[in-house]
This record gives sequence, structure tokens and C-alpha cells, in this order.
Amino acid sequence: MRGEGFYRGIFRYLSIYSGEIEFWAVVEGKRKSLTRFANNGIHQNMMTERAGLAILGLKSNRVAMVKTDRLDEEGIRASFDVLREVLEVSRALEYEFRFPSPQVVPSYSAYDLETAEFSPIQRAEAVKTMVGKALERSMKAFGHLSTGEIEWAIMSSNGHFLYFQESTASMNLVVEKEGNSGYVSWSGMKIKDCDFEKLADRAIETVLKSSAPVEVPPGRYTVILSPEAVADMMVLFAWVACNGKSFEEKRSPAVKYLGQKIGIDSLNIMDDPSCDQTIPVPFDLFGFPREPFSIVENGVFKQVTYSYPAAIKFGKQPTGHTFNMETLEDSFPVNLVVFAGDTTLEDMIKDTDRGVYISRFHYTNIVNPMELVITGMTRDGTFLIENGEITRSIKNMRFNFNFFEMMKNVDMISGEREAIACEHLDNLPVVAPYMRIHEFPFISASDH
Amino acid sequence: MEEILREVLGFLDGKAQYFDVRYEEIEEEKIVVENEIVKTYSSDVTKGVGIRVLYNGAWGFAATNRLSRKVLLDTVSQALEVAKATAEFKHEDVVLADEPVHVDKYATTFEKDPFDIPREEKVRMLSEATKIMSRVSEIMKAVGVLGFRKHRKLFLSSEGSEIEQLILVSGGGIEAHAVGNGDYQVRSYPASHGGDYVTGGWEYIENLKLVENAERVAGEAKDLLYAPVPEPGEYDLVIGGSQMALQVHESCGHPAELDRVFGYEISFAGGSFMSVDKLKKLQYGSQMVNIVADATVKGGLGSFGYDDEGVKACSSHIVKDGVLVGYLMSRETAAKLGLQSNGAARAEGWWSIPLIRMTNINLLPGESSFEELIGDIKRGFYIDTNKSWSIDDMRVNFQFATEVAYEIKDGKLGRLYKNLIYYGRTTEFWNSCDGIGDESQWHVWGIMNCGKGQPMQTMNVGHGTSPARFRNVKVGAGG
Repeated sequence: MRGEGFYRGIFRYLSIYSGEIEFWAVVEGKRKSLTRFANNGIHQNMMTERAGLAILGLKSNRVAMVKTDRLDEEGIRASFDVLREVLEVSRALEYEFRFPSPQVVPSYSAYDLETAEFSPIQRAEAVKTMVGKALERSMKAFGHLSTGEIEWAIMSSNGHFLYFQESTASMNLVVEKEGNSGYVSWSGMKIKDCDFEKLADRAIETVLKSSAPVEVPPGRYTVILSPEAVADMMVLFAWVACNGKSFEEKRSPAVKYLGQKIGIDSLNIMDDPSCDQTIPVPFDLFGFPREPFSIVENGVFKQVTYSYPAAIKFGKQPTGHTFNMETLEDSFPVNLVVFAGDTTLEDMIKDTDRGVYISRFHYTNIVNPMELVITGMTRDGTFLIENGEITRSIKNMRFNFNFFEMMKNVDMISGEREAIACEHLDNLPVVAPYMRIHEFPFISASDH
Repeated sequence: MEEILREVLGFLDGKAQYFDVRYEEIEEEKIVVENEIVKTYSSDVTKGVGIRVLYNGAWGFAATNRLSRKVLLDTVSQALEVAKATAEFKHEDVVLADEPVHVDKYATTFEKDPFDIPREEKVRMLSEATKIMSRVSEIMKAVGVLGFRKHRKLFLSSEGSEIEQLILVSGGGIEAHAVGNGDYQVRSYPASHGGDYVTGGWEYIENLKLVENAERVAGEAKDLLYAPVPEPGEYDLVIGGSQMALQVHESCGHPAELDRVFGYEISFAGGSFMSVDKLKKLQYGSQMVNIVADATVKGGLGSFGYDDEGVKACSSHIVKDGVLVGYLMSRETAAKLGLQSNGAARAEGWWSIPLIRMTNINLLPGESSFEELIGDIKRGFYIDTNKSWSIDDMRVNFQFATEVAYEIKDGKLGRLYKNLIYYGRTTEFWNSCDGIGDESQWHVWGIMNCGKGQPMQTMNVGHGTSPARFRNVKVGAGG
């Protein structure tokens, strides 16, 4: 990686070539390694290093952006030439835009050298560990293991300079035997926190309790969702319902539900960079501090997020959630944490007369944004619960549910939580517990 | 650059079975105008090198956008080191299907380079379109998008192939976001999720006539606010070309990827019901269903001269007369079936390893006029423009929602409905197809954001479709 000194160096070029343009520049540098395996062997193995500079220019209340990965003097000069041309044809924003003044940001630690420098051989050894566990049970293993590091630098014409470096690691694992499968994933900043053997055992356990799946009729069932499924659902909630811009434009379910009691008292959802299971980011792309931010508190949908531009536009306070330089008015909580409850998975199952246990959602998508209707399928272990026990595997089911209706039907949240590698978020961790939900609607089944 | 690359590759001589290098330059321009205000005008340039090494039957890949000789030599070493680690724990030896050595150049055919069109002209077009849409009081947000990409590639391989390509992409669209009557609805043109894209030039944008369609699109968005939702049940459907593109994409394109079939994507996107034991046996659809993978069709977003492992673009059947007859293949996966690759190994950019990706997956046109497709339906819907999509991990159970649904009663189009979803199982659905629109209705739709793989790669793919008729499809109301 290039390191803080390098970016301080290019700050000089930005200042020289910006001329009359006010600028806000963000550099993201990544060095990522990835090993993928299938059928008990590695089939893809790679290492990529990449850095890119995005410069947001401001002139006469017009904004425009250029991006380049030429981080030398010539590349930066050329970028400002293009930016100058683009700003000429742009139109003034409908609100008065200015770059923010420097903020005090927290000092989270998110870098682990061992993780950043985890070698191809070390990844292969970790894969061998997981595959070895699967082979002991005559199962096949599929999955990925990724490690790497990311660095950000923010530089602006009004004197900002911020730099942050983090390490990242993530894995997932599917084990399969005779058409039955089990799944686990993990994400975090320290590879040593990933217990490959324990995770493999959990996935294997799912297969061991599987049987030839039977089809159950569509309808409403009590379901117990794994942390994987809970995280999937909560990310869609955050994406659709928590963006201040769409709320202000009346295109969001927050119009109806913000400030309302949407679930039981123990339903608490937070964007929490201080949680030690997430990968903390101390500031957003406009340099605003990232502090714990409560979204749902004691069952009440408390607040939505505002990017810095959206905050100016709608007369709100920025909440430290600008993470996309291309859609500046949008915002997202990147350290999503669902609080633990006070029961256990075991007790949830024991307390369920008839229901369905869901290991993982697949291909979830939004059918109706205003009501947050979510569709998707189950996969990698869907089970019938009868008289307080998991009794048999069932064929995967399609659901269409209204998120807010489901939150009202949550009656149990587990104390156990997992930091899962969220596919919607490029394997960033989302921390989530198990949840029991009544009247969960399935509309059809698949054939496996 | 070519000289440095040859020197760098010289480092691998005698150290690996096979290697290739891709040097790529990508120039992109994206303009988003919202209610006459330019919200995004981005100009993006990236250049870098990806090196793929096959060592002792195992792959390694490394990539960088630091283009000094020293860094490139380090990157070659890393690719080799990664391949050696893979070799320690491979499932089986990688064998590559034969491919002739190609020394060639390819460039997209176009009339007007969009990067030569004055920026003011592009902004003016979108401002005008959004201004017209905003005149309808219910339109909270009127959006216009244009996007262009110029992708230069140089491919060199240890087998002697040297291929230069220039792929030019142009496209865009408009969206009217209506709020009212306690509802929120979106109407898009010519397609949703950012519009329609081709390999071609500015002439395609001119033909789209975004400004001329703005008033209609805004009116339809408003009408949707007050439209009824359909009564759930089974109906005959005529599915418009834009939605058919996504239907083909999800239920034929992805499951035909041979790496999925072999399980390489199981932990992420899933597997495929099109297992190799079903090849030439599975009645995928009715006899009139013919689906080809064709990377040569003019203007198709998935068209190119060569794929990213140097295989010449071609056309091959996936489904012929309703029967599964082929897959999308790379050299590695084709060899497992004793076949030659049909050129579907594609990488998003220099930073990505080539994976099996769709090219243009085209449902070949039938013989029916639109009136004939509609005319044979007593009770059903004509639906179009994708709103949401989902399909299971084996690509069997699917559900789609469309922006608009028009009632069909006794062979005539009727009133507008909203929030229609339809769902089913892939082969049952395709076997219920009994009408496909003729060539005059056929268009290759371009999807810019097909996601696959880890790390996720976003690919440009095309789908030639015309409207098609399906019988007794399950329909619901999505919320």
C-alpha cells in the first residue's frame, strides 16, 4: 500500500492544479487477495492491487466529479482539465452547496498486519482445514477466503486531510452431501478471530441433521431465521427505509413508519462503528465522524441517515453516512448491528410447535419499496420444526413479506449473534442474532 | 507498454505451463440529471494489467494499476506465487481446450464517437427530458441518464496470441418517479435499471428519442398511481421484449454458465439445474424456443471480437427447438466436456480474472405479429419493463415484477394495472411458450450491471428478444 505520506504528497498536486476550482478528493487504495474453492479444491486464486482518486469539483455552486487511477502529477493535472470542462456544462444545484469545515473524528483501530499480509499459502492452509473437516464426513466443500487491506485519504481545498487504513477478512463455506447443504460465513478485521474449524463444524452439523427434503404447502408459518437471514433482511431495510433522501422525497416506507413502534422492545438496530465485531470506519467520505447511530431503539424506528449533501438540501444534520461519491445525496449505515435478545436458539426451537428454520436467504429483492415488501428464496438448510424439534428437511420456499408486518410478528431474539459476511455489502460484516417470526408468508416451493 | 509487457512476460518463460496478460484502458463518462439539475457528471479513466498464470495445473492471477517495470515484475511474481499455492491444494489439473493462435485487431462499428459529442449537448438532452417529465405535478423526481465506455484491450498469451480490441458502449434512459394517492411508482424508458445500452456510438442515443418520449413516460407514471392491482390467479401473459430480456437472462443465461454447472459458484450465486447429464435431453422449453449465445451480433452489448482468454467470438445454440444443447464455456470448462470454448470467458476489467459470462443470449424471433400474440388471449395481461427479480440458487423458482401490466380481454388490450408479479418454475414456464414475436419486434437489449463472481464483477451483456406469449402463468399482486 502507498501509505499516508504518499497521499500527503499528491495533496500538493491537487492544490497546484485546482486553480479556481474548490475540490474535495477521496482516494481509495485496496490490496485484496481471494481464494475460492469448490468440490474440495481451490479453483480461483488471485491478488489485486488498485487505487483510485475521485475529485469532486465545486464552482459557482456547480458540482462535477472526475475519477482517475493516475495518481501522479500528470494524471492529476489532466483530471482538473476535464473537471474544468465538465463544470462549465453543469448546472447550479438547487441548494447552496459548500464543502464542510474539518471535523473531529474518532480514532478507531481497524488494522491488523497479520490479516493484511496473510499469504496465499496461509489461505490454502485455511481452506485445507475446512475441506478436511468436510472430507471426514464424505461431504463436498465450496467457498471463499479473502484477506487484504484498504486505505482511504480525504483531501480538500479548505484544508482537510484525513487518512485511515483497515484490514479486512471474510469467508464463506457451503458443505454439501447428497443434495443437502449447510452454510456459514464470517467477516472481520482480524483473521485470527476466524475459527475455521468451528465454522466448518457448524455448516457440517446442518447437513448432518438434513434428510431427503419434502415439500410443504405454501402458507404462513412461524419461522426461525438464522443470523445470515436476519442480516440479509436488515440490510434491505437499511437500504430502502433508512436513506434520508428518499424519506424527504416521500419515496420511502419511513414516510409511514418513522417514529412508530415497529417491533418488540428488544428490537434494536444500530449503525455502530464501536462494535468490536464490525470493521469500524471513523469518518465518512465528507469527513464527518462515525459515531454509534441508533436506527431502531426499543422497537421504535427512531431516525434515518443523511449524507452531507442531503443534509444541506433538506435542512438536516449530516449523520456521517456519505459513502458513495457518485450518488452524493444517498446515505447508508455501513456498520449495521442488530442487538442481541435474551433467549437462545435452542429455546426458540423448543418453544415452537410447528414452524420452519431458515439457514439462509437467497436472491432477496424489493418488490414494493413503499411497504418494503421483500421477495427471495431459502437455501442451504430449510427445516420443519415440529413439537419443539427440528424433524426434517423441506424443499426451498419462496417468500414475499412486508418487512414492517414481520417486525410486528417478531417475538424472540437470541442472545447469540454472528458477524456474517454480507453479500449485499461485498462481504462486510453485519452483526445479527437469530429471530423468531410468526405468520411468515411462503408463496411457492422449489424442487430442491 | 507492449514492450514492457513482453519483457515482463519473458520472466515467466519456462516457469509456467501457460500465461496471458491483459493491458486495459477504460474511459467512462456518466451523466445523471435529476429535475434539470446535473447530479452526476463523472469522467473516469483507469489503466492496468492483469496477469494469469497456469502452473502445474493450477491458476494464479495478480493485477495492478501501478505500471512501472518494477511493479509489473513484482506482479508477475505474485501471480506465479499464487498459482503455486493453488497447486498445493487443487481439486484437479486445469486443462485448456485448444484454441488457434490469433493475431488480430477488432473494433466496435460506430458512426459517431460519443466522447466527441459536446458535453453541453448531452446535458441539454437530459435537462430537456427531465423538464418535460417534471411538468406532471405527481412527478417527484425526473431522471435522465447517459453512459459511455471506451474499453481498449491488449491481450498477449504464451501461445502467441496478440489481440487488440476497442469496445465502445453507449446508452441511457429516462425515469419518472411519481408520488401520490399514498403510493410511489416508477416508469422507465426504454428499459429500467438505467436504460438500454449497445456497442455502438452516439447515433444510438439519437435514435432513442429520450426527449420525445418524456411526456408519455411521465403520464404513465402518474397513471400507475391510480391503477388497480391485479386479482391473483393464473393468466395468459404476453411479455414485452424488455422484460423478456431479464427472463432470458435469469432463467437461461445464468444456468447455462458451465462454471455454475460444475459448482464453482455454489457458495455465492448458486448452482444450475442444467446439469451435464441433461445435455441434449432436457426439454427446456416448447419447440418454438431457440436460444443462442451470440457474441457477433451487431450492436449487442455482449458483442466483441475475442473473449478475455483469446477465443474468437462466435454464435452457438444453448436451446434448440426447445432442447438444451449447449453451455456458455471457457477453455477450462469446455475441455472437461471435450469441446472447444465458445468464447464466454470475460473479465470486467484489468483487475478481474476471466469468468464465464453471458455474451448476447438471444431468444430467436418467431413468426407472430404483436396483434396475433394478443389476439389469441381471452383473459390475460401484456406486461413489460422489469421492476424486481429473484430466482432460486438452482435457477428454477423465479419471480419477476414489471412496471406496467395492461389487461388483455378477448384479444384486445385494456386498462392499466400496477404491481403485477408473476412466478413459476423455469422449464414449466418455457414449455408454456406458444408464441414469439417476429423479427420486426426483435431488439438486443443491453444490461450493464450483470453481477457474478467473487470479488463481484459487473458485466455488459445483451439479450435479443421480441415479445412472447406464455399460458397459465401464476400472477400475484406485489404488495
